[in-house]
Amino acid sequence: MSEDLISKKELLDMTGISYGQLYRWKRKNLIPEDWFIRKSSYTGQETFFPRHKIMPRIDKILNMKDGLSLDELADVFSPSLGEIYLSAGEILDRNIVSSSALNLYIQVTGHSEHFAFDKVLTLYMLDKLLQSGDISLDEGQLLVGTLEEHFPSFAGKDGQLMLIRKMGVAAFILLTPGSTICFDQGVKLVTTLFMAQCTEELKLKIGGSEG
Amino acid sequence: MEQAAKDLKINGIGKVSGGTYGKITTDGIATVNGEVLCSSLTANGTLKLKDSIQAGQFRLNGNGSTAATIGGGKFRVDGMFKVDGNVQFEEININGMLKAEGSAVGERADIDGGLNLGGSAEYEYLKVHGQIQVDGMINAGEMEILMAGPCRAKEIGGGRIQVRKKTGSRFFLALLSPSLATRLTAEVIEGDEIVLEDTTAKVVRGNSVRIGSGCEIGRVEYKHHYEADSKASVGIAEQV
Repeated sequence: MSEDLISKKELLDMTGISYGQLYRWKRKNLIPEDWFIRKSSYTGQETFFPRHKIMPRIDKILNMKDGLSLDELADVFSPSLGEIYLSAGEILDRNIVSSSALNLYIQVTGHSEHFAFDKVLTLYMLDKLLQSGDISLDEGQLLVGTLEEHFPSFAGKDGQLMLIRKMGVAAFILLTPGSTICFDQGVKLVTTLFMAQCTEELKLKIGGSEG
Repeated sequence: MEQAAKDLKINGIGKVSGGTYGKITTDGIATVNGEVLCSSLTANGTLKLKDSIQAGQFRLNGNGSTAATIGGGKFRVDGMFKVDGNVQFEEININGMLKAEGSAVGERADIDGGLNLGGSAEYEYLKVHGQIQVDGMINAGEMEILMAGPCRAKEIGGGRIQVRKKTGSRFFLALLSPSLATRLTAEVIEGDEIVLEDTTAKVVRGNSVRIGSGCEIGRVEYKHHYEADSKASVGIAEQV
């Protein structure tokens, strides 16, 4: 499996950042260690990055670093779940998820008081799939059930949520990072959500609507 | 919880279990079994920690060891300390020797003597007078090394990197074996501003690079400025 890689030199040239900045961001955990792929070349050791991950990350850092401190930024990018509690009213007021997603969630879990970050994340993923039209409300119930049951073992990890259909029947799959999965030919992969990415989007959404 | 934490004092030979404490003071030989959370720990003599510790301030005169990760605010050692895990203090100040199997991470490190790490060193400001030996990477915003012994790292990266040799150090030992010579060995050194002396590296990359006497560099890649001493050997220097 070969990924599209960008060399460090190319990256610095394209983004205009310096070695010092790059290493500083690495120290602050804005760029995860496992994105640094070291390879030896004829000119000595070179470091490469997965292009589709590093470019948007650098863009985001450059755009947000004036408003937020590096530590706050690190918090946004960290896959760990923050300590946030929101009430149902706040979630709707701040436009974090739609009311249909929230109602569905409450209907399934019976939980309607304070939502911790992992609950909000479940809601957010549900809302995302509902909004994109990838799932129906019935399938949404299935999703909430799946996430409620298995989410704790994925907390803080960059897991993936996959939605597949075979002969119109939907199934959700939760994957740990770095695992491979193969399907038979009748299976259609509808969508994949990366938990770290959703966490990041959600943190920005919560943080953004605060200020 | 913090008001309730009791102080602890050991004189002579003592053993305590872990827990949450206010101030811990030990004189003599102290052994701590279990995790410790304390506002400060001052140890004179020998200190043995069997588990991890979180301390606002940790000060050791003498020698000590711990089987796990240590962390907190300030850490000062006069003597020698051995850690099986990571060192995660905001500020460390070592006079003597700090050895860790893991990595050392924080804001500021001031080493007089030696730092020996199985992992990496990550500091905003890192100053070493003596020797630093790191199996992984040294990543520092600003780094000043005044070598008085063999130094090595797999990779060095940061903003400002300055490596110099203390004059007249270890001349006779160097004659005995090259591995005892006072010099820095690294595979890759990358930074914005780099000044090197007595360094062996395959690649040096930076905006401004100054290669001083005694250096053996395979390849230099620079952006703005490059300068090499006549007593340095550089394979290729290239502006990129």
